[in-house]
This record gives sequence, C-alpha cells and structure tokens, in this order.
Amino acid sequence: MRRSSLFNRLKRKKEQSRQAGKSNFNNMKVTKKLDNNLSNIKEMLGDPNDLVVRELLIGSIEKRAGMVYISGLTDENLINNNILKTIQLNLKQFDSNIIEKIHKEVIAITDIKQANNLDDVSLGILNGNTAFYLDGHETVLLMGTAGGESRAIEQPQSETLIRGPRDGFVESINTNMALIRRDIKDPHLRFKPHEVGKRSKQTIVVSYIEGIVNPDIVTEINRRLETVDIDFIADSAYVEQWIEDSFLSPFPQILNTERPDKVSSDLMQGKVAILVDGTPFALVAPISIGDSLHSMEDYNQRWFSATLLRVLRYLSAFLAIFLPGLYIALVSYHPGMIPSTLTYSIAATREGVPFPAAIEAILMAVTFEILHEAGVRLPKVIGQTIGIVGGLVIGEAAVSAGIVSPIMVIVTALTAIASFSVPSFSIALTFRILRFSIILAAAFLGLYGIILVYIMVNIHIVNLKSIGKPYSAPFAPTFTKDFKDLIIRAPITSITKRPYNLKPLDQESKDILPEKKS
Amino acid sequence: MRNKVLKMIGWPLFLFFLAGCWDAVELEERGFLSGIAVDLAEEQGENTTFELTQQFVVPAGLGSTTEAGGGKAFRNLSQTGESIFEINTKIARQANRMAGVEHLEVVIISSDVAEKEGIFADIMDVFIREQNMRRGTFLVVSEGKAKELLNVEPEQVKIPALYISELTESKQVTSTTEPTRIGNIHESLLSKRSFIIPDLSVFSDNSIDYEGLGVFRGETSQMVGTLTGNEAKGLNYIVGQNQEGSVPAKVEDKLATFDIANGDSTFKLTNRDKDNLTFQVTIDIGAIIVEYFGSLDPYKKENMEKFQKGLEEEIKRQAEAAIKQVKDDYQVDVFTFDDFLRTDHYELWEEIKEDWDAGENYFAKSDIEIDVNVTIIEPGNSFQVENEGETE
Amino acid sequence: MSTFKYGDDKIEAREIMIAIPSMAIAIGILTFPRHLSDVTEFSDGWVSIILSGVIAMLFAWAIAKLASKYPNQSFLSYASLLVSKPVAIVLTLLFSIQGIALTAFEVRAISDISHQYLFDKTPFEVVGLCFLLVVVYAVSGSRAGVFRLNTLFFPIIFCTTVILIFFAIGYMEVDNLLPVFKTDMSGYLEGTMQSALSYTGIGILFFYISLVKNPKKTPRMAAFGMGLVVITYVIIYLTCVAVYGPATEAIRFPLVELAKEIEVPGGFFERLESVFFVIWIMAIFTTTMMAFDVTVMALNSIFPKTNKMKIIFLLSPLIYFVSTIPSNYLELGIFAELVSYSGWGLSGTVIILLWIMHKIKGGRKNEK
Repeated sequence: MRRSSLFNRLKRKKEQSRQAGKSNFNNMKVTKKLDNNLSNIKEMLGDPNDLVVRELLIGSIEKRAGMVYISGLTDENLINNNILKTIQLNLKQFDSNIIEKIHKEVIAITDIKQANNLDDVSLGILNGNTAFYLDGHETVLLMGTAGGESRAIEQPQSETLIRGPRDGFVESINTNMALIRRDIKDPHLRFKPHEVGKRSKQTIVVSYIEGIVNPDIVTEINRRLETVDIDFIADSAYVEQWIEDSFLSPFPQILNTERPDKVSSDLMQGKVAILVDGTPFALVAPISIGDSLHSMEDYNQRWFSATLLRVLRYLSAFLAIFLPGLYIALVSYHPGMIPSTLTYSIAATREGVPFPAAIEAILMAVTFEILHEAGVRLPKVIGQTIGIVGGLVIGEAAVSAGIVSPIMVIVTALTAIASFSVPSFSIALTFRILRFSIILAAAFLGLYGIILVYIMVNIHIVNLKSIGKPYSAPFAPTFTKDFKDLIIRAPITSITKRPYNLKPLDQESKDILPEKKS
Repeated sequence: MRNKVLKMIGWPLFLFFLAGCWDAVELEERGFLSGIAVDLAEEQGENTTFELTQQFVVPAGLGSTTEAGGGKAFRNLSQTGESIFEINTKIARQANRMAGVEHLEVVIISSDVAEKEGIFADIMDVFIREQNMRRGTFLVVSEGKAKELLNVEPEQVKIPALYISELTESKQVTSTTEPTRIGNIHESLLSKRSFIIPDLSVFSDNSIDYEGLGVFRGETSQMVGTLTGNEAKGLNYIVGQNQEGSVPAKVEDKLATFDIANGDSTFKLTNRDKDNLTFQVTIDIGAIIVEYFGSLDPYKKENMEKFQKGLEEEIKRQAEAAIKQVKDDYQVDVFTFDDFLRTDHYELWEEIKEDWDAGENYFAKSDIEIDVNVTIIEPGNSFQVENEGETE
Repeated sequence: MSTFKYGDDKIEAREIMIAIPSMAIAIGILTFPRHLSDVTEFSDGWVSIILSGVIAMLFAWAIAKLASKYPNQSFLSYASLLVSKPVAIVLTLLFSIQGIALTAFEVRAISDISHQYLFDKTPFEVVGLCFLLVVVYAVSGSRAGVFRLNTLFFPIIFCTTVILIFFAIGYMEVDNLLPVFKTDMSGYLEGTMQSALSYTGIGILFFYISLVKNPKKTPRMAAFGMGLVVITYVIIYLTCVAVYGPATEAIRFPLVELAKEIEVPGGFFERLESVFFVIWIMAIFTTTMMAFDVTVMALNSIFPKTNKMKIIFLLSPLIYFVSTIPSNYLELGIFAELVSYSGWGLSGTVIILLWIMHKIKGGRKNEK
C-alpha cells in the first residue's frame, strides 16, 4: 500500500514536471514557409555545428526544399543515395498531394513518418532522423536514417563464460532487441517501449513473452516505469534504482546482465527484461536470492559439474560473508571451539601483534577494499601493478612488520577470493556490506552476535520483494518443484517446467534454455 | 517501511554496544591449560590440603611447521590449598594470563590422593561442574607425585600433557584400557559403580610408563589398588575390550607370540543364588601368529589346535590371575558384571545392587568360570622359518 | 494501486506443519532429557514422550479442526460466535498474557544459556536485549515473513540435529539403554507430565489457522507437525541416555553437553558445538518470534484500530521487564513450568470449551 502510494505520488509529480519541462516552442506548428521552418529548427536546437541544413531545389517541380539532420547520428550514404538522389531523379511532376507522393513513391527508405509539430520534428532529428521540408507545405517527412558510429558486438566484459555464446549487448537498443529476437523467434515476444528522461528522451523497452509471463508482473513493471522522472539515464542502474522495491535494502532486487542468452532464457522462464537505450546492461526482474548466485555457465556444462560448481559458489558466498567474523568470534571469544593444535599455532602467530583480532580484521578488510577499488578504477595496465603492490603490502610487509598475523592474511585472502567467485558484481557488493556488519557483530558479541545478524539478514530477506515477488522464493514460500534448479542444477532433460515461483501462465516448457543460434 | 526505520535505529545501537565487548579476550592473551596435576601437599592443614600444578602451553615455544620453536613450550605453576578452585585463583596470581580450560588435555591425580577415602569424588566435582570443562578430558592416576609427570619432556612432543594424553590413547598392548574421560567417571560416580583409570608413572627423564590400571571402588570412590601386566590383560579379556596387542604363550614348550586381532566376551549367569552367584565368562579371541621359536607347521590341523590350546591356556591363566586379584583382593567389580546383571537379570540386580561390591559384597562371594575359545586367523607370512628334523 | 500480489496475507497448510515444530522445539529440547530421566528408569522415558506427544497431537488436531470449521475467521470472531463476545475477549487477553510470558521466558532463557556456554562477563540484560530486538524486527515485518522464516530455519535445525545424532553414534553404549520397561506407572505418568512441558505453544493454532488459505488439510498437517516433534524428541532422548547413561539426570543441558562431547575426527570442525549453538539459537528464536507474533495478533484482534507497530513497541519493554524478573536459575525453572503449564491449561480448557459450545450451537443450526 505504502509502496503504491509512493509510486502514485511520483507519477503525479512527474506529470507536473513534464509540463514544466516543455520549451517555449511548445506546440508550435510547422509553417508553410521553408525559411521560417529552417530558422525555427535552427533556433530551437541552438544552431550547432553538427546540424546539417541542406537547402535544395527540386528541378522537376521547381520547388525549394530543405533537409535537416545531425551529421554524427545519421548514415550520410543513406541520405545521399536513397533520399537526395531519388528525389532529384524520380520526382517527375508536381502534384497536389506531393508530400504523400514523395512519402509513398519516391523515397527509398522504409521508416518514414509525417510530422507537423516542431517538437516532434526536433525530437526526430535528435533521434537521427532526417527531416524533409517542402516549401509551401505544413507537413514534414521524418525519414529513418539513424546510423553513425557505434560499438560492434563484442564479448561481454563483466560476465565471461568458458563455454557459451560470445556476443554481448551493445549501447544501441535496436541492436540489443535484435540480439534477443535472434534468440527467440516467438511471435509472442513483446517489446513495449517507454520514453524516459525528461530531457534526454531515451527509450526503455520492456521485453517479455506474452503467454508465458504473469501479466501482473508486466503491469507492475510498466506502472513503475511510468513514474521514472529523471533528466537523463546514463545506465540501466538509474532505472533499477528507481523501480526497485526497497531502496534501503543492501540486496539488489533486479538483476543486470550483458548477455543476450541470459536475457532470452530468463524471458523463457517467465521473467521480464528491461532494455535501456545507451547501455549494454539489461535488467531482469523479478529475481530471487538464488538467481544472483547462478551463472549461465551452469547450464552450459553438464549437470553434474554444474551442480558442484553451484554448491562451490554457495560455499564461497558463505565464506565471503562469514569467514572474517567467524575468525574474530573464535579467536576473541570462543577459543575452546578451535581444535587445540590450531589454537596454539594461531596463538603463536598472533604473539606480538598489537591489535585485537577485530581491529586487525577491519584493518585488513578496509585495506583490501581500497586495493580493490583502486584496481578497478585505474587503467588495466596500472591496475595490475596495484595488485602486485597490494599483495606485497598485505602479504609480506605487514606480516614481517608485525602489524598483522599471517593467519589474518590467509583469512582476508580467502574471503577476497571467495567474494570474487560470486558471479554477480552487485550481489558481491552486498556481501561486502554484510561482511562488515558480521565483523562488527562478532567483535561485540562473538558467535552470538553473528547468529543474531544472520537471523536479521534472514528476516530482511523474507520481507524483501522483487517486483512484488518474495525475494526468498523458492526457499520460502517453498516451491519444491523449483529446487531442481536452485542449489543443484538437475539434468536439463528434467527441468521441463518453468519456475513455479514466477507463476507463469504457461507452465509447460521444453525449452527454458533455447539453443543459441548465431 | 517501518521495519527499515527500526533497522536504521538498530544499527547505531549496535555500534553503541560495540563499546562493550565484555568478553573479548584475545587469543594471545589467554593462557591455555593443558594439564592439571593434583597431589597431597607436604604440609597438611586442618582439612586435606592439596597441591595443584597447572601446565600452561607457551605457544611461541611450539614453533611452526617451518621453524622450530625456541625454549620450552610449557610452564608449570603450583600452589597449595584446600579447594581446587581456590588454588586455581592462587595460581592466577602467578600467571600473567587468564587461564582457560577449554583445551585441557589431561587431569592427573596422584595415587596418594586417590587412595584417601572420599577425596576423589570431591576433586572430580570441580572438573564436572565448571562450565568450560569438557567431559572428554582424560583422567589418569599417577604412581608417586603427579606433578612429576608434567615435567617429563619427551623429544617429539613439546607439551608433557599432550604426551600423556597421546600415551593413554595409543593401543598397542593388552594391558592398557580406553582413555578414561571425566564424563565416564561422572557416570560411574553417580551410579556408584567401580571403575578403572589408567595408572602412569615416571619412567625416565623423558618418558612415562603406562604401568597399568588403577582400580577404584564405586561405593567410596577411592582407589583400592592397581592392576598391572597380566592382571590388567586378564581384565581386558574378561570385559571384552581393548584386547588388541601381543601375547606370548608356550606351545609345546616353545615360545610363540600371538597378535590378537579381535576379541569378545560373553557373560552367562549359571547360578542365581545370590550368595553364591556363578558367572560363566566365554572369551572369544582371534589371533595371528607373529613370532614362533619352534617348528610346528600351523597349516596342519592338529598343529593349529596346539597353537590354539597354548594361547587359550595363557589367556585363561591371565584372566584367572585378574579374577583373583580383583575379586579376592580388591573385592570391587570392574569386570562390568553389574552392567550385565542390570541389563539381563534386572530383578536379581534390584535385589542385590545395594550390596553388590560393598557391604555384603555378593561380588566377592561369586564364582567366575572362564572359558576361552581361540581361533588362529593367520599363521603369519612365512609359517615355518626353521625346519628341525625331529618334527617329521 | 495494485502492486503485484503474491497471496501475501495467506499461508499454506504446509506452513502450519512447519510452524508447529518450530514453535514446540525451544529451550525444552535442551533440558527435557534431564527432567525425564530423573523420573523414569534407563531409556523408558521414550514411552512418556510418546504418550504426551500423542496427547499433544490430539490437541493440535482438535484445535486445527475446530478453527478450520471457521475458515478465515479470527479466533476472536469464532470464539465470540461460540461463547459470546465478552468471554472471547477475556480468552484472547489470556492468550496474549500467556504469549507475553512465553516470549519473556524465552528471552530470559536464551541469555541464561548463552551465559552458561558463551559469555562470562557480558551482562544478561544486554544478551537478552539484543535477542529481543531481533525478535521485534522479525515481528514488525509481514506475518507471511514470520512463516517464511520458519520455513528457512526449520530444515537447518532438523538437519543439524540429525547430524549431531549421527556423530553421537560412536559415543553410545547400548548397555545404558537396557533394561527396558522397568519404570512403574507413576514414573511414566510423571514423565508424561514432564515431557509435556516441552510441547509448548499449541495455542498458536487458534490464531494462525485463520491465515490458512485452504484450511481443510490443516488438522492433519498440524498433527503431523506435532508428530515430527515427537520423533525428534524420542531420538534425542534415546541418544542422550545412550551416551550418558545415569548421568543424564545430573547434566544441566544434556543436549549441549552432547555437542560439546562429540569430536569429529580431524579437521576444523573437530568441535561441533559452535555449529549447534547457531542451530539452537535459531530454534529458540522461531519460538520466541511466533509467541510474540501471536500476542500481537491477539491484541490486534481486540483493538483492530491500533497500529500493529504501536502494539509491538508497547509490548517490547513489558516483555523485557518480565524477562528480568526471575533472579536466579531456580526461579527461572519455576517460571518455565508456570509458562508451560499455563499454556497447556489455557489451550486445553479453551479447546474443550469451544468444542462443547460448537456441538451445542452446531446442533442447533442443524435443527434449523
């Protein structure tokens, strides 16, 4: 209830601000005079360098015309060959319905729209269209000539697989949609566009398969996207943060991925993907806690090895969160729970270390976080240097200087490695936050504190939702049928049903994971 | 929304509590007790005065896997007093670190203390009651001063207490028993059952001898004597546990040594008259010939029977020796006949349990018949090393 | 307006099945072998456990059956139908008082047992307060969340208990269990009374059944859930007796000592007690959480206009205060018996009363 009223409030606010955001060219019509029109559009866009305004005289009908486009956004070859040339050559005689004629017969471009409003024209131009003005006419032709430089399809940087398709999303939403279309040749695949960005006017596409996905999910996502009220979306993360269920939660409630195969298989399961123009990261929702620990690799290996890998990943998630805390609790509070010989060797190595275990752990963890952050932000070449320096500083110097104990180095290193084996970066960040709270709890109350924090995290998770779906599903509420693809990954031949916890319309599915053909 | 607000309040609260950390004591600031020895003090006060010796582990002395540690790995501190816990606090005045009993390996009670009536149970109380104590801690009795045992420093183990606990655990001879845990003693004390505890003594500067088994009377929980050598072995045969080990026996006047591979014993009550109970004990033994000075070929059936007979006689002899000492001299039931009676002849047991090995002492009045069955499982790798002409 | 609903207000019959053992297994599991072996001979206590277990199962079944005859009606509404509104309000109030007492007891008991094994100097008050705060956090979430927590924790509790017993096999002595059936009748009866104390919290069924989507199956599920508890108790009891023999009755927390005694050969997990502490704190947590939640639910049904959070914030200090009342372990023991017996007494009287009224009124309805 609270949540929905919040969204409603946002929506109202958005409508107001949309009114406010309109320019003073509001609703200005295209006039009959070509010169007026051209100067209007120039004035509206501020007459930038990259705005090409080409005036021409169409000889055959003796009319002046104008073409306006932005050079970097358009495919100029297309303009020359399919517009300019054809108009000059093919337009034979004047007609009362000349615009219609040009639209229908002359121009060799498929995507043509008509507009008579300055706002629409300017938006069209900014989207890479070419505007065609004809003197004496109030209608403008907007021709789809979008093109220009863009990144080629490459292997995804953030999620690499050993086995699996090599293509990843790019910044162009059209390419991304095409990538999904190539995977799923289902006529029920839907792309519902939204326009967001008060000023940037970006496209967001909600993608789902009608007939599979639970329509409530789609409605809810669409409703939330309506409320997005922001100037500019640099990445899908903006959208994610705007529509997620709880912004106070450390857990990511929407998954992001660079992989078309992942999006396709999620669509097949009954999830919804959100593509955002200008970023290679697509969003997938609703998700559960388990989804963050799954990788596409799991399906691309045989089930036995995949299951073991998954168990390993759950284990490393456990280590990444609990290891330093457990170490502190055992060393400072409950030495009786460590085997005797291990106790003595830890005690021997800790002899002379000036800090208590908790401080030592925080020290090391913070150092590690700094190194990690430095390594990520720096260019790749220097980043490696950071790794070496960090390894030396932590591993050797700190120990021989007697600031930290060797055991602590092992603990920190193991934690770090474990947290890197988590496939999703956003959940890895969550684990880092949790790790620090566990460290604090362990420093305060030992094992008891760890258990209490663990219970608190569980309480948080069971109350958390992803687009209205419980985040803890299918563990609780329990969907035993979904356990086949949770901690274990059952043989692919036995996963014949879509996940029950998503409540899909069409339960039978022989092809959760469509064979990738590219 | 509200629960999130709660969480936002909750976390700073935790930070506030962080100032607490009441119980945090760093590992290197703890003293680890590895062994405790209880002796009678030289000077006796009004009540019995004990001398308590505590062995602390010095972790730095242990060294690591790559470098050997320097110096001693343990430190012994002694004090005298009337209550164990009180002495413990006295020792704390000497120790620079808070003593923790979590890793206590072994508690040594000197036989002087154990032989005093009623003292033993009182001493055990603190070891059972104290909450950090583990019921798995081993208990041994020492001939002579108990604290001497904590000074024996063998070459390969740097902590004497650890050496003692390893010693009690190793099963190589038939005259030893399972390590006695404090938990077991607790159970025996509660049900006033007689029990045995390993009995150790100092052998040389760097070794300890597993002398035998100290026998405790359940009724008074005092040590009544020890079983060594053959008697201890005999006890194990009768109880049917820990028979692994070697037994030399005469086979047609030639010495043969057998390694006992498995063994079991069963009890039967053949006479139910409570003043004259008769137990039939059948001991089943499986053995391997490991050493033989003669030249009989064990592959022949009649020869194998000779081997069996030789071993049977030897085992019976040892068992009877044990019976003689335990039943006639000490008059306490450590053969677990009480368990047998309780589980199999409950009515009879109800009748006599108060006077089992105390008071009337029906146990001492009973007869025990021994019957041994030996099976030779293997004749050894080479069944005949020398071939004397006279056998053929 | 319409956030995607996931049937959040309603629970499945299966979740009732899990809630029952989550509620019943609490402090009792740590101590009951001591009390039980005190009054019975050798391993005979299992007869008492089963006897009291069957009674508990019957009660659970009866409560669930009655409540499921009034599907989706709160206790207050069907009780007022049967025994008039004022009486129903009094009963609900009694249940909430019992719930407060139970919550307070568990909070106190957890700090007591933590003190026994985990802490020396940390004040009781802090240990209890931290626990209570976490419970408050859980209760202030959605009610479905409470059941989901049970679903998450129950398998962990169950599996680790099985693991504990598995490792304990090496320490068992069959002799300790023998001979069987040597206890006299009064011993069995006393044992039944004792072990009944460990089947706490059947009362929650009065309230929680109203949340079940399709309550037809709940009586069976409730009885089955209780059956799980009975099996767990029997196995734990036999394990304790087999390991400790006559010493069982002299150990304060036999199950904890069991975990302390067992050493898994080799490796880091040689001493398993740390793992088991986690589990038992979870088990006690689920009980406390549900006791508190039911109290809030009961009070909320009397004062429907009051905000749930307001009730929680008013109750928490009260619970905390009650939990500090017992000044030593003896008083705590008395408190425990009081809470358990009052729970049984209240649930027992209410269910018998309601069944009788149901028969009378139901009969009348049929006449019409």
